[in-house]
Amino acid sequence: MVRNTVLFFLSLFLIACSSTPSLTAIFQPQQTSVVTPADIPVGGSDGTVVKGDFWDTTPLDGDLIIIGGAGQYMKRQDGINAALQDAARKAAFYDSVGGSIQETERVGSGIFDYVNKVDTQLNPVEADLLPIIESFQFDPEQDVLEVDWSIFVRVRYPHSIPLAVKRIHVSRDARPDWVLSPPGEINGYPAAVGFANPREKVHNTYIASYEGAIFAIISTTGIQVRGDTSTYGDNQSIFSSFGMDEIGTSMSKGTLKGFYVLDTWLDPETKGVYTLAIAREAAAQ
Amino acid sequence: VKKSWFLIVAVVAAVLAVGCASSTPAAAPAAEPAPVVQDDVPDFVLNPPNNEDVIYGIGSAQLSNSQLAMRTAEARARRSLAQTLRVSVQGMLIDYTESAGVGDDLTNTQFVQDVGRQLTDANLIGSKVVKRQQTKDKTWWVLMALSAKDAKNVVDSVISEQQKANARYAEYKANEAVNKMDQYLNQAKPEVDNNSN
Repeated sequence: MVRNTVLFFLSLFLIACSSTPSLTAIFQPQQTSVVTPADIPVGGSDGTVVKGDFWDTTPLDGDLIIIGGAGQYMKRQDGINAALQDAARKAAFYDSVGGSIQETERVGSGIFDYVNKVDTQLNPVEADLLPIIESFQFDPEQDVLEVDWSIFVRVRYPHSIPLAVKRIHVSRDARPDWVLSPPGEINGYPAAVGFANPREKVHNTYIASYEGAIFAIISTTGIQVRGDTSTYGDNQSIFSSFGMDEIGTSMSKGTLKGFYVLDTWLDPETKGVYTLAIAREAAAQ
Repeated sequence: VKKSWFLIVAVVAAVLAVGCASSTPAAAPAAEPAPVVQDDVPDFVLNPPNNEDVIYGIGSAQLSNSQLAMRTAEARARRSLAQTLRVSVQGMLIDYTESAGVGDDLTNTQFVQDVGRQLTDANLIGSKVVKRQQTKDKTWWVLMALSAKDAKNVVDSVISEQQKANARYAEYKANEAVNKMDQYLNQAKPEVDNNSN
């Protein structure tokens, strides 16, 4: 009887002192298998080839250079068509794009008392995309890149209102300076950098980064910033308490004309995508 | 038998307590926690730029989603800028001390309550990210800039809003005074008997 009791407590002791499995081990981030885009033939017309990490889209001879992306389809041509549609949507954004962004952050005293919410909205494209696609200069042999279940196309888009922007990069061997030091303006145009962390499909990362650049420029046109911080503390003879509640909101709404992407860079380490863009005109609403 | 039962339980409880105790030697002096030094904090945080023509705000955020972290750091930097330009602070401190009773029955009661509130509201036009950096611990740091010219516009708009608010208040008080005067005049007016004729 006594022996059984000792064994029972010994087993209890062993169970109590055994270490619990580490949560960090359970939530180890999975290695993504996003492949860095290989060389993409940029400028099928002028024959230049640029390293895939950089997608230089500086206008060529007054024509806009636009990259469209889509997921891969069963038929290659369907994927190309979807990517061309994305390029046409971006071409329509060159005429005008409007959107709004609202960020809310609430911090409280409780351990789970944290809310961070970002709402972004882009106005839908009203233009007919078919004539835009028909006006593209596009070589299916040279201007298509298939990578990691995504398909990208590069098109030349002649436009009556060209942008006077010069090529701004020299070195292609390192991270461009504009990633960490975004220029406020380039050649007199308002400029900003969009960023997106890796999505499941690489083309979605590029699209999110592209849209991030739109919101980044809109935010410079005017942003209503509000902050409300409340603190409470009391100290009685035995008990004391302290509390803090902070709510911060920022709202911005605007319209861009001549929104255009100059360069896109994929960080080989994090697989995040940065997009450098300018706008001919930027106005708050 | 009861005694041996009690003895066994006491011994096992003691073993449990000792076995699960921290392995830190009891004699070790309680050392001060070493300060955490982040050697890769961006230079613009440690040595913010000093430019008379520009106002800067710094924000940082560490979240599992790096895109959200960057946006949050930017939003915090903008709030920091807005606080530089316009902040309204409200505070209330209650300090209550009471002593009651005599001799051994003396009781002291002390109660301190401190409530504070800080409000910021500004429309920033022209605020721009000039530098950003992600440190090893995945924290995004952002340096936001607003030119002195744009900052002046914000302050001017705040003053203009305040002047408008003052004007509205003055108008409200004037209307209130007129209404009161009408009220008094109506009360003082002698009643006219329509049937007197």
